[in-house]
Amino acid sequence: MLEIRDLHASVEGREILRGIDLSVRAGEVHAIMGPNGSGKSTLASVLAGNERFEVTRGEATFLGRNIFEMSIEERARAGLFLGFQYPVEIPGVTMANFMKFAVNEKRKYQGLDPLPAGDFLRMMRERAAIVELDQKMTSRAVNEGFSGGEKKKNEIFQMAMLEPLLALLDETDSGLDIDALRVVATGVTRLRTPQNATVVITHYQRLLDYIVPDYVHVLYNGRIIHTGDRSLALRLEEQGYDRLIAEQA
Amino acid sequence: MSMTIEQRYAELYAATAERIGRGFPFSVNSRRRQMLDDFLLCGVPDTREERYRYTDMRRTFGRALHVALPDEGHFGSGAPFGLRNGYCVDEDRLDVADNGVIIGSLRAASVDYEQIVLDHYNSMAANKADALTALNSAFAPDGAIVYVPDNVAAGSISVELDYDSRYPDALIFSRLLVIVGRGGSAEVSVSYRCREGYGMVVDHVTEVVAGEDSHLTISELHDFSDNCTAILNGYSRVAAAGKLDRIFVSLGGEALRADYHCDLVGGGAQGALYGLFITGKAEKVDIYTATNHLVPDGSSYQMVKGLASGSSTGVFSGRIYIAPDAGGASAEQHSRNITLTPDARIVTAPQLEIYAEDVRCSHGASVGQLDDQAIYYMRQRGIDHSTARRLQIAGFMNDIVARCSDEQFSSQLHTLIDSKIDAF
Repeated sequence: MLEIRDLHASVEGREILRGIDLSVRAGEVHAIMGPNGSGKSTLASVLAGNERFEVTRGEATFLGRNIFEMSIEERARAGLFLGFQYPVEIPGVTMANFMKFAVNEKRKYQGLDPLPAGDFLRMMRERAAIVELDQKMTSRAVNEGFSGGEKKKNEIFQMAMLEPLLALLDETDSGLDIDALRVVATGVTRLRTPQNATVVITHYQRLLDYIVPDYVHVLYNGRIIHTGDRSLALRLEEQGYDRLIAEQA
Repeated sequence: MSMTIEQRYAELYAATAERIGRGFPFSVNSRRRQMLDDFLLCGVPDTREERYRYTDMRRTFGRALHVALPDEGHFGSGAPFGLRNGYCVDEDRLDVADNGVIIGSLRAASVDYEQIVLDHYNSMAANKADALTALNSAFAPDGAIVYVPDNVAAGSISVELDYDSRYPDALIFSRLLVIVGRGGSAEVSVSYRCREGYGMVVDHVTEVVAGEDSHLTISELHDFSDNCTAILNGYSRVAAAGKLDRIFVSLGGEALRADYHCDLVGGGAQGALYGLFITGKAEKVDIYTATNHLVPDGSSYQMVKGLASGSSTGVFSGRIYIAPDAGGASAEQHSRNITLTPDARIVTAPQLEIYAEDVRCSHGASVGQLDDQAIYYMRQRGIDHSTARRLQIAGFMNDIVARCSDEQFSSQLHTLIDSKIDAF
């Protein structure tokens, strides 16, 4: 589904990614961990198409297509979803209206007619329930005045609405209390199917108690220095990154 | 020696006074000369005057203009009620409902309901020492009146003001008088429309009287073409416990100048103004507000939003005055603006004059651009760049537009706003 080869990317002339290789197949869950500044969020942003970053070398394909030849919205419509670390507020635009546009753009891409209003409302209700998001939130402006926890739930709610093939969740656990973390993580797990894949970027092992990864990658200094299974995350929690980094050096 | 601008209007008045005063009672016409004298005394303002700093009226009125005469007015179209080039579309139409609500020609009302007109017409406009208002009062050949008697709920009323003189460089005086009596209520929508201006200048005056305990909402749409200059002077007076909500949406024009004066003259009076202007190309919109708390315990609120594109200019000058004995006043003013292009310009200038103790007064102004992060966020959800931009713009404007409750009026607004923004 996603193939990344020797990916280099920089921001304002500073190289952040220095040769990433990663394969994600349908049905898999990958966790990317690593210390601050290692390039985790950059990787997610580059894949989503954030124009702040410049890809300087390497390639990436999504569903067999060169991802860098696709616009941000094209990647999204094809099924790539980024759960933002810092969800953006859009004053005056209601969640319902925002989602109506997003869902129908995707349907158009798939050659489907826009969803009838009644079906759309039912879908919103069902999907909001997955993350225990108050139905009333959908009539409020996007993320405006939402608490930290609500913003993160709202990201997963959008993921539930858009049913992506590949979800990149950028520190979805940061700023969440234990209960919200459980709700968000359970929501992600419930959305898992054999057809889709999830890449979870996180600092903490805690999230991985709920979202059980098939692979754990450690990103350091713009490269994946180690890949293992779930036990790697537990080991990191115990020993920290330093030891692993020293071993690799 | 060449004539001054003011002398030219004095001559024009001498030549047209008989025709423009035709059909009005002596009581109304006898005031015109006085108004002209006021005009001559004030003189057409120049940009050194704070109130007209951003719009050069001497240039506008210094041009050779001709005053629109009745043959450019009456049209005989039937419903809906309105004015064409300042004249009632159906000559001397006056609709009087069973509940006493009067809608129609100001000229006809000044004959049939002389006392109502005398009590209110020019009751505010005459005291403001504004040359362009005085000029209007001297020249206005007709106008529209909406009168709601005491304790009558009039519901929705619409007034259409069309400007479509075929002659180039027309000078059009139009007038609107809205009176809601004690305990009365009404929602009035006013559409100003000029599709093709041919260098036209519109000098319009609105007077609004909101009686004790009344609730009046006036929604205005300013839709002037970019070869039309419009000066809209509005004067409102709100009595004790009365509530006046004014809403406007301005869609540009070569130069559009709109003044909203509001006097809170009775305890507990409330005056609110919700405005939105959208300018493109080289258009200019200049909004001036003056909110005067003249007695204790009044409250006022203003939210004026501006969206400027191209090389256009938007100006908001908002003055709040709280008189020495107007304690307990609460006044709030917000000016929020977005520029879409580097050449678009917004000027926002709050002015607060507070002479009383114990008042709550706040104001804020901002000028910014669209949020790139929000656009990125929407694109990541599959929404294309231009739709994302549009959604953000709509989000910025929605709270103002949503205040227009009349369905037909608000759907007209949406259509016009959409086509305006499409062109950006």
